[in-house]
Amino acid sequence: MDSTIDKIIAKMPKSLSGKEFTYCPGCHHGIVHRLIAEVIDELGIAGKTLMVAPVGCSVFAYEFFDLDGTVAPHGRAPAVATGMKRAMPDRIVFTYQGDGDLASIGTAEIVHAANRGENITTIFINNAVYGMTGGQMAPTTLLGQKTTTTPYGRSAKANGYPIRMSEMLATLEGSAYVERVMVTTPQNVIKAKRAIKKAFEVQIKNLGFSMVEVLSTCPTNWGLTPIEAMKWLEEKMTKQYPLGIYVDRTKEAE
Amino acid sequence: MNFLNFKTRLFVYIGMFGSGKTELAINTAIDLRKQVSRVALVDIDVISPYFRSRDERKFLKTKGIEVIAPPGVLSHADLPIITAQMSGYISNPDYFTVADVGGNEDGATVLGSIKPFLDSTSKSVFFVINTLRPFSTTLEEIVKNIQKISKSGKIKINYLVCNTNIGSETNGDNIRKGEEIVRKVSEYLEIPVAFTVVKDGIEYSGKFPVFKLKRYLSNLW
Amino acid sequence: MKMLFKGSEAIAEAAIRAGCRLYFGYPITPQSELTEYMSRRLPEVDGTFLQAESEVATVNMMYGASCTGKRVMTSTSSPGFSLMMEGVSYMAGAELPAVFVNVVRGGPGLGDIQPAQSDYFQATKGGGHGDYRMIVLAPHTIQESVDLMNLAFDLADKYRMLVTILADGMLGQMMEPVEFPEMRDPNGVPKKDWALTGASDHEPRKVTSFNIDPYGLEEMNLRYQATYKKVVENEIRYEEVNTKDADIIIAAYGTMARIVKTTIHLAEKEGIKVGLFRPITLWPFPYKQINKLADTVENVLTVEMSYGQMLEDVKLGVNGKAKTPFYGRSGGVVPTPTEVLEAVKKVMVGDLNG
Repeated sequence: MDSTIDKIIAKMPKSLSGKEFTYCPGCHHGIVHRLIAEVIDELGIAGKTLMVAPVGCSVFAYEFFDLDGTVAPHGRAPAVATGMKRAMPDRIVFTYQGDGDLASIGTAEIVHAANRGENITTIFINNAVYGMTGGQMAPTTLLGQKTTTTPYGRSAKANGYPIRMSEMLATLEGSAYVERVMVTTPQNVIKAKRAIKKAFEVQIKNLGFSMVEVLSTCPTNWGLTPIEAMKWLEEKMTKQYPLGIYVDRTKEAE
Repeated sequence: MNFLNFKTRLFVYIGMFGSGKTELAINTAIDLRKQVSRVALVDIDVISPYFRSRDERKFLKTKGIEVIAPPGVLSHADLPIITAQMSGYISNPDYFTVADVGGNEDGATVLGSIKPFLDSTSKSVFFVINTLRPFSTTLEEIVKNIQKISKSGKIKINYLVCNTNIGSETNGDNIRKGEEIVRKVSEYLEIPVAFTVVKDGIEYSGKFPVFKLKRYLSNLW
Repeated sequence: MKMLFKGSEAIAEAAIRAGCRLYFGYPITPQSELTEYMSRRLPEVDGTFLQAESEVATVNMMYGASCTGKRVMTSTSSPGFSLMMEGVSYMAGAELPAVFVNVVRGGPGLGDIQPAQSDYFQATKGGGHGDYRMIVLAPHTIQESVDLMNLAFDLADKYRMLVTILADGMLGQMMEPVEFPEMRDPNGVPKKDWALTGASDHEPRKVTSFNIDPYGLEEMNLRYQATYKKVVENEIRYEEVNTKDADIIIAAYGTMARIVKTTIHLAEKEGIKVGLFRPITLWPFPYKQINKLADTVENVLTVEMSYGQMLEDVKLGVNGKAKTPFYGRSGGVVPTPTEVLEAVKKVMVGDLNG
């Protein structure tokens, strides 16, 4: 280490592999990756953590973490994580999933994993659009929002309503901890990290299913600059998806 | 051994899955029919997909036995069907009726749904035991099975039947060991052993009366 | 000590004896007894039984469990196996070992619950997407099912491949005396240097079926193909009965082969010498072996509980050296030994040609 540096105030978390992220400028995946890695470092669980990446923009996420990991078929990460956890109950298993993955094609898997109280942690990135496949409608796309498959804007009549997963999963008794956060400001980032840490601690204590939903931007597919995108997230998305803790059964469970 | 000696007109066979209830029910019906004119075999096995009494309906008809099972094509449906006709035959005093119930607690549960009919008629309930079947090899296991099935079927068991066998390769030694375990169960639960089933062709005499069984449910080969 | 077991129960017990302690499944007739047996038996041996919310979830739970290097299995019947095809393809691509039991019933679609062999194509030719293979074992007795279960897990581990036991409703439901091998220690199975167990004692490992670079993916595919080649070279299994100086050879597998064994006796009484060629591995198929047999007869009659699926492999094997007539029934109807004998006679008088 360079001896001229006498105080390190920021460094790469050990649990990140150092591979360059594939994400677009202004995308929030990178921030969330970093938060997860910091939490894993702080909890000292890197050596026993298994990661399940999804199909979506974060399909390479398993490469970005210095952990044992795999990629699940689209939407099936909670089932894959269930298999891992049941095979090795003393390991820490987490899934990282987008809105198409978790809230559309994988609804059965996430609902039942939560309902079983599967002792896994899910980080759910909700950016109201399909990023990977090129900006199509997501189940969380807002009403009126234009996407490549809702060129006239999402209409409730044709496409139904933006689905609120945290609210839905909170109703299940197996869900020990569910919180929705965003990472638009340093203050929000600190809150988000606290939520992610809590979710992993819930798993470490064997209390059941935990999930943190992170409202995120997609400047590329939204057609906004990173700053505009953050503004849009704060103004529009938080109305449909209010922040907060939706369920915390950790006290009862403990 | 004569089934009329049980002084009942309703024979109910329950037991663990694969303990040999169906084969025994068919044999009982055929044996009874040699002595009385009206015999019905009620198939209330709602859990087995194959090898059920209903599969032998045509053959049993030639023997003068009525088989009561879901009608026509429904008898092969993957559905638990109980028809009103079944309870009719169970409570009909003009008939000697043999009831073939599905295996395990799951198979016996259905008895609860026809309990009023079962209660209103004099009956003998036989618990069939094959000690060479999984989960039925020891006193402890068998006692637990009997208690569970009796509870789920809401029915009291009057007799035990020793049906220890491994199919075509059964020998007298197998049966003797089976009788020994069933005797212990009988003493423990204070339920008498009605008879021991011995497949036609095996010479055997042991502790209990012997019922010679003919195999009717056969594989295609 | 021999005991009386249903086919599906025997397969379950054999899996446990083979060191499998993880079962994920979803009930479906006619194999639910296997699922129920596991739910009762696995807790007795500190194993894990989990009834999944669907077959789609089942196969992905297997994917996750297999990633950790432990032995894992499921059982299902035709419509359920179709639902698993997504995960089958991903597992094949990620080279994850696992054992599937498909107790085949009548199809297509909802079909019925009677025994059939109409999932032969799905099992042996793909079913899921991509250039992959699965080892397919076809037992014809309950004892053989038990013996093949041990082999299935060993082959899966050895080649990092999926192995399917292709049974049918008849094999699953019938009862026979059976003897089990000794219980194997689940911790005694070979350690896997690729398994995801937490990167505390190794560099972080990645198990995926994924490679965005076409040359990289081609390389992965070449690796799969090299494995499949080894399996073809080393793992072909089959049985020949009465084939020496036979008047006609019947090719049949599973329950159908069992029936043909009775046909052999019936035919003998009428002075016809029928031989049986019974593939035990449906993939890899014993092409060379049947080709050799085809030199000795005029006709190789394929008999199936389906409409000419294995027939295609028989034709590839026979390669024009003999005629390849076909007799089959489907939808859950099982040909009787006498019906098969009728077909033999028709072939011999030239009424049934191939």
